[in-house]
Amino acid sequence: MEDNMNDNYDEIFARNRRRNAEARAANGQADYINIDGVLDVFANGQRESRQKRTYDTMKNNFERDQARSAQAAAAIRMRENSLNQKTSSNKRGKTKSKSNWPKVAVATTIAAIIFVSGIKLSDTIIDNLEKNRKLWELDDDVKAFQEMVEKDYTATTFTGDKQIKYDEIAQNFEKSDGVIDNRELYIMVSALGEVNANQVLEEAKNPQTTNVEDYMRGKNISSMSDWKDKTVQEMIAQNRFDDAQTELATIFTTTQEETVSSDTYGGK
Amino acid sequence: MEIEYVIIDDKKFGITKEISHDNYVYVYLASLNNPEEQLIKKYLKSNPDELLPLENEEEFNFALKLYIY
Repeated sequence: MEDNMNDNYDEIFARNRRRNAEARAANGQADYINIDGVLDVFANGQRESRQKRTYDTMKNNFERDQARSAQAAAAIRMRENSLNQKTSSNKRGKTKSKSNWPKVAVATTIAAIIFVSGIKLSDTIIDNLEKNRKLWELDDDVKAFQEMVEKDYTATTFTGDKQIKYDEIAQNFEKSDGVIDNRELYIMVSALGEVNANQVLEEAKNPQTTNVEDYMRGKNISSMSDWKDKTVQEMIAQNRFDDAQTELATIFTTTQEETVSSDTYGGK
Repeated sequence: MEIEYVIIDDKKFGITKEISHDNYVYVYLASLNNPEEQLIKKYLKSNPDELLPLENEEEFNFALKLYIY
């Protein structure tokens, strides 16, 4: 699975890289981009030697942004769909499901919203977080999964004003850096009573398909964003989802390459 | 496993959780084809045949809190 995931990331990354390079060239922002283990960015007709990043760094940034975007997009869409003023039939059907993923997906989105919105957690949830954290630490299989998660997914940082509530449970994870990774999200989901760690392992073998890119295309969003720009996170934290949506549409048109260079070197 | 679903806009949404509160039951749904597509609806206990939208942001936040408590 790991190889497949890496291949998938490589493919997605290459596609975005091409698209972004074209966009940059069209805007006159860069003349040439060459990735051959090392990224060289030629901005404004002049090569800036400081603007070099390894492919791995670029890839890691892309994966992190993708993980953040997936959570944020799911949260935004959940809110939009829930407030869509349509009624519908409550007529039920039953079907076989190979996976518990729909349940996990909802719990994961809500867990992410909880992290960013500062919803106070009940004592029961806090207790379960601690219990499940220990479970994750003790179980060798879970450890293996944790390593896989940490390798294949990257951490998600939420730093909105209300993120401070995260500190309440950060101690349970022995973390104080405000970084939420997928492992913690899954522990959270587990604490919500939706799954246990072993179920998460099973789910991990059947990872969800991310349709964020399709979603972005539907919203005229062409690429991933620089989420180090805290604006969108703060908007989500403040429940300003419409503003966040607009902001996303704007900043997702920037390129991943620009993100890396501008963050470090103040290029854009 | 077997999962119960409803059809909204021609799409099947799996029912992942139902929570009763006062006169309503809140229903937490995820598309069976695309679990990233999620929503929360509610129905009146006195009229369980019709799924209703949440009224506003406040109710959406309330439904989230209901989920975690």
